Amino acid sequence: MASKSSGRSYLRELMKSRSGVIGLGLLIILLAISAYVVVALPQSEAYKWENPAAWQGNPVSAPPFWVNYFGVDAPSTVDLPLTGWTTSVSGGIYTYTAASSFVWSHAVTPSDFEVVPVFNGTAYEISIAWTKPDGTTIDIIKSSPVSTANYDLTTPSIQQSIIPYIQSQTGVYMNSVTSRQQLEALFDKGGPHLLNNSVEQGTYGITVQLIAGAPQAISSASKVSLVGDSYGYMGTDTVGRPIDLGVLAGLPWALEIGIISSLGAVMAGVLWGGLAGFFGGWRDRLMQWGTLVILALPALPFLIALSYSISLTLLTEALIIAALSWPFYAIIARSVTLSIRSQTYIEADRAMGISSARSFLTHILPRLTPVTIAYTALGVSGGIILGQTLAFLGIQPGNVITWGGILNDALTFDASVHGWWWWVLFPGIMIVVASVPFVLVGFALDRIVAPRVSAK
Amino acid sequence: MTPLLEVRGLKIYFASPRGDVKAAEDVDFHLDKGEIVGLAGESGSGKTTLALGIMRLIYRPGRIAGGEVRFEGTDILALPEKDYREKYRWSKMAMVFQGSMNGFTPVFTVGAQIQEVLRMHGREDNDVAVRKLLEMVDLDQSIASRYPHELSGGQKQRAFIAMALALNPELLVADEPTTALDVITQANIMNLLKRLRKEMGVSILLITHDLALLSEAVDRLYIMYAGRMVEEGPSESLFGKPKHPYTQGLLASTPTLQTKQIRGIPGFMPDLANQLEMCSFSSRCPFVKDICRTERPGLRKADGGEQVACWLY
Amino acid sequence: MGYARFIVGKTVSYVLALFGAVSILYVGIYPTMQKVIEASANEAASEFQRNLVKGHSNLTLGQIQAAVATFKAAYLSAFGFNQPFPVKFALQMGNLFRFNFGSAFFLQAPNGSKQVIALIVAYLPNTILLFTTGTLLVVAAGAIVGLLSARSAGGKLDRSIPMIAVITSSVPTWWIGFVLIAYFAYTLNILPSGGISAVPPPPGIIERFGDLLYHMTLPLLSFFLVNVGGFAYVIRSLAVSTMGEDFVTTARARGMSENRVLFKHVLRTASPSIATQSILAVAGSFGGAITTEVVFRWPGLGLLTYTAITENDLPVIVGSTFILTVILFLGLYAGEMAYGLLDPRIKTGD
Repeated sequence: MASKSSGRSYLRELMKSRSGVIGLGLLIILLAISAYVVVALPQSEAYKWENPAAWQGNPVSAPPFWVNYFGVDAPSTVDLPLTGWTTSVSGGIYTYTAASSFVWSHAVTPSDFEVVPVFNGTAYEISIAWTKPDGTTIDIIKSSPVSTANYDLTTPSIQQSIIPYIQSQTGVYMNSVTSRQQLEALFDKGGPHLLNNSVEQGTYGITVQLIAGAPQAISSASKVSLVGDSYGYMGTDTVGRPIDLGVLAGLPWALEIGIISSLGAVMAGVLWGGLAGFFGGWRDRLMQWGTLVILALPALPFLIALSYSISLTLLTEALIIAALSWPFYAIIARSVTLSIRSQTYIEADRAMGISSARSFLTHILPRLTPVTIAYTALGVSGGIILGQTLAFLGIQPGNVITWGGILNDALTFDASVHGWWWWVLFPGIMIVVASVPFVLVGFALDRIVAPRVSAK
Repeated sequence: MTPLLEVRGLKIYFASPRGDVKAAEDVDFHLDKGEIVGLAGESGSGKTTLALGIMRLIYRPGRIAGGEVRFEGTDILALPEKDYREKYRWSKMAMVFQGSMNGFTPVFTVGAQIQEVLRMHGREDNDVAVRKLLEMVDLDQSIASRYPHELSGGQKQRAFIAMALALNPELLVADEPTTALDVITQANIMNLLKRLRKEMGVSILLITHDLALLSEAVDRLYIMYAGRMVEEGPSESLFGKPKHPYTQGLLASTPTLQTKQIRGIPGFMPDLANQLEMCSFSSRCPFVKDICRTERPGLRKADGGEQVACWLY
Repeated sequence: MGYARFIVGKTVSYVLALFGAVSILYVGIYPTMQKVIEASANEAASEFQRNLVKGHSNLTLGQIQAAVATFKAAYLSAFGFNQPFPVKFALQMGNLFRFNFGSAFFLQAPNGSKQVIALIVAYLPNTILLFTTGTLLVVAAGAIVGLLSARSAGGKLDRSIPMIAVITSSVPTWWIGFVLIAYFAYTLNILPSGGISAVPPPPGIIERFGDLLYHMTLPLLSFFLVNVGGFAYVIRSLAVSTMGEDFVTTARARGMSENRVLFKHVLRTASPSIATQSILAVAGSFGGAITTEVVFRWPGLGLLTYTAITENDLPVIVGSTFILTVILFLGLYAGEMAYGLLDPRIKTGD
C-alpha cells in the first residue's frame, strides 16, 4: 500500500482520467504563458498601465480587430509614415515637405486623426494639405509652437482649419466642432449635406509641410495616423489600453496569489487537522474550537477591513487569504486522520514505545499527502477568485495589473451600458480559464485518493 | 416433494478491469421445507454473494449471469422486479445480515421500522403486532421506541430477526448472524433460530465460516470454495467423515480443547477472475493428482448420502 | 439529559468562539477603530463647544477651550483611549457587541440618521431578502438534482454534475452578473439593470411586489447559476456515501422500492448534514454579498460597505464587518444545532 502512494503512480492514474489529462494540459499551457509574460513583459509595463499618456494613439473603447470578420465595419489604425522629406530654404525659413496617400475602403470614418511629427527642435507651423478622392483639398494648419507631439482633432488650431471648409460646403459657420464632425468633414462626400453624407471611398492624399526658423532633423518616424475603430485581440478600454495586454499581464499575479495562498492554507490546515485527529482528547477539542474561531470570520469583509490597517503586497495578501482559508482543510484532514487512526497500528506503535511525533510522521502524514495535493489544486481556484474579487473592489497591491482591476474600470465607465462587451467578457473569462484547470486536476486527484482513504 | 428453494447452475459475476470476477460459478443447491441447511466456507468463498443473489440484491458491477433460482417451483430470477419485490422479497424470503452490520436505518426507531415493513405489505401495523414480534425474539416492548444505536449488538440482531419474521416468511437466509457478537449472545441467537424453525416452521439457510456453529444447528450443509460447491451432505456424515480435502483441512484447522498445534491450509485461493480448467483447490491439495490439474471435477454422489467435487471419489 | 448537555456545551463553545473571532477582528482593524473613535470624539467635542457657546455667552475663549478639552479627554477615556490595553480592549469590544459603532463620516440612512447602526438596520433587510431567497432556490434545486443523480450513480446526469460544478464554481458571481446585465438589460432590454425597484415605485402592493420580483430576477439568476452546481455536487456526495452504508442494502432487502429507500431512508439519514450545509450556504452567501450588490446596485449591506470603501467611511466599514461576522456566526451555530436536532444519535445522548 505504501509504495502505491509514490508520485509517479499518482501521475499515471491522473493521466488515465480524462478530466485529469485536460486539466493538466491546460495547467501546463497556463504556466508556460505565465512564464513568458514574466520574462517578456518587464515591470515597467505595469507602470505604463497606470499612465494614460502612454496609450495615446490607440483607438479608445474599440472592439477587437476580428469583429471585421463578423460583418462589423471597424477599421484598424492606419499609420501613414512620412518619409522622404524634401528641404527648401529661403531667407532663413526652412520648409520641409513630405507626401503620402492611401486608399480608404471602409464605410465608416476612422475614430481619430493624428499628426505626429518627430523632430528635435521647434517649428513655426505645420500644415497639411488634405486631398479627397473627388479632388477637393482642405488645408489644415497648426501654428507655433510645433514640436514633437501627437496632434489630434482636439487641437484648437486644427479645429479652426476645418471650420471654414465646412462653411464652404454647407454654408453654415460653426463656432466649434466635435471630433466626429471633423472626421465627417474630412471623409464624407462633399456638398451641402457634408456632415450627414456617407463616407467617400477612394484615394486620399496628404502633403505635410513643416516651417521652421532653423534647420531641423526630421525623423522618418513621423507619421499621420488614422486611428482606427478596432484594436488588438481583445479591444481597448476608454483610455486606449489594449485589453489583451492587460489580460496577459494579469496572469502571473493571478496564479501567484492562487498558488501561494492555497499552498499556505492547505499545509497549515492539514497539519492542524491531522494533529487534532491524531491527538484526540482535550487537545483535539481545543484545536477544533480554534478551527471554529477562524471559520467564523467572513473572508471577504475581513480582508476588506484589514486592508485599511496594513498595506498589501502579493505575499501579505496571499498569507492573509491562507490564514482565513485553512479551517476548511483542517476539518477534512481531521476526519481523514480519524479514519486512519481507527486502524490499529497506531496503538501498536504506542505499545512499542514509539514516540507520538514519530508515529504521526510515519503513519499519518504520508497518508495525508494525497489528500493535501488534491485539495491544494482545488484551493488554487478559490484563491484566484478571491484575489480577483478583492481587486474588483479596489483592494490590491499597487502597480499590479489584475483582471479584477480591469473589470472595476469597466464597471466605473459603464462598459455594459455602452455595449463594450469585450471589456467585460475577456478579463472575466480569464478568471474562469485560470481556475478551471486547477479544479479539473484537483477533482481528478480527489477521485483517485478518495477510495483509498476509506478502504474498508 | 418440490424443495422450497432450488438453485441450479447459478452464476454471479462482477465486472472488473481484469475481466469478470466469478464470485459464484455453477452453483447447485436446494433446501427443503422445514430444514436448517448450512453453507460454510472461508472469507471470499462467495457465500454472502450467493445469499444476496438468491434475494436478487446483486447490483452493479455485479450481475447474475446465468442459472435458475426456484422458490416453491417458480423461477424468481425471471420475474419482473416489481413482482418479485411485492410478492417474494421479505414476505416469502427474508434475510438476516451479519451481526456487525447496521441493519437498521439509524434515524428511525426500531419499532417504526418494523411497522413500516408491516404496513408496506398491507399487514396490521399497530403496536400490538410489533409487541408480538418482539416477544417472539425475547425482547421487551420498550425496545420498539429505541433507536438502533441505543441497543446492544445482541438486541439489535434479535430485533432485526423480529423484523425479518414480520411477514411470516417461509425462508430465512441468515448470513453470519452471530459474527462479532460474544459467545453467550451467539448461543442465544442460535437457540432462537432453532426455536423459530420449530415453532414457526420457517426454513433457514445458515451461512457462516464458523464450522463449530454449524455442527450443532444444521441438518445438512454445503461447503463452498472459490465460488463453487465442493461438498454437501448430512451433518453427521460430513462432520464425522469429511471427504473433500478442503473440508478436511477446514475441520482440522478448527481448534478443540485437545488441539496442541493449529494447522492451517497452506496456499491461497485462486484468482476468481482467471479460472482455468482445473480443480480450484489443486494448488493447495495434499492429495493432488495429475487429472486435478487438467480437468475440473463436478459434484458427484459419494457414500453417506453426500456429494463431493473431487477426483478422489 | 444528554441532549441538554449537548446544547449547553455547544452554545458555550460557540459563544467563546465568537468572542475569539471578534477579538481577532478587533486586532485586525485596531488602527481603523482608533481613527474612528478619534473622529467621533472630535465631532462630539465640536457639538459640545457649539452648545456651550450658545448657552453661555459670557465665558472667555480660554474657559471654553479648557472645557472642551476636558470634555474631549473624558469622551476618549470612555472609549478606552489613554487607558491600559485590557481596559481599552474591554471598553471597545463592549461597544462593538452593543452595536455602538458611532456615526458615519459621510453616509446617511434614508431616515436621515447618521448612526452607523441605523444605516445597517436600514439596508440589511434587503440583503437578507435577496440572499436568503437565492440560497433557498439553490438548496431546493441542488438537493433534488443531487439526490436524483446519486440515485442514478454513474448515469448521464451523475456524470455531468461534477463537470458543471467545476465550471460554474470557477465563475465569480459578480462577473456573471455583469454579463447577464449586459445581455438581458442592455441588449435585450427585458430586465432591469439594477436597483431594487423602479423609480418612482409603482402604486399598489401587488404592483410593488411584482416590481420587486422583476428586479430580483437577474441577481437571483446570477447567484443561482454560480452556486447550484457546487451544492448539487455536495448533496450528491453526501447521498452517495450514505447509500454505501449497510442499512441501504437491508432496506432494499426489506422489500422497499428504490424511491422509498432514497427519499425516505437515505434522505432522512443524510438530513442532518444536508441541513447543516444549507444553513452554512445561507450564512456564507452574505459574505459574498458585497460584490453582487455592487454589480446590481442592490441597496443592501454589501452596497453600503462598498460605498463606505470608496468614500473611506471607516465607522461604517467597522460596523458592517462586525455585523457580517455575527451573521456568519449565527449561521454556523444554527447549522450545528440543526444537526443535533435531526440526528437522533445526538439527541439521545450518544
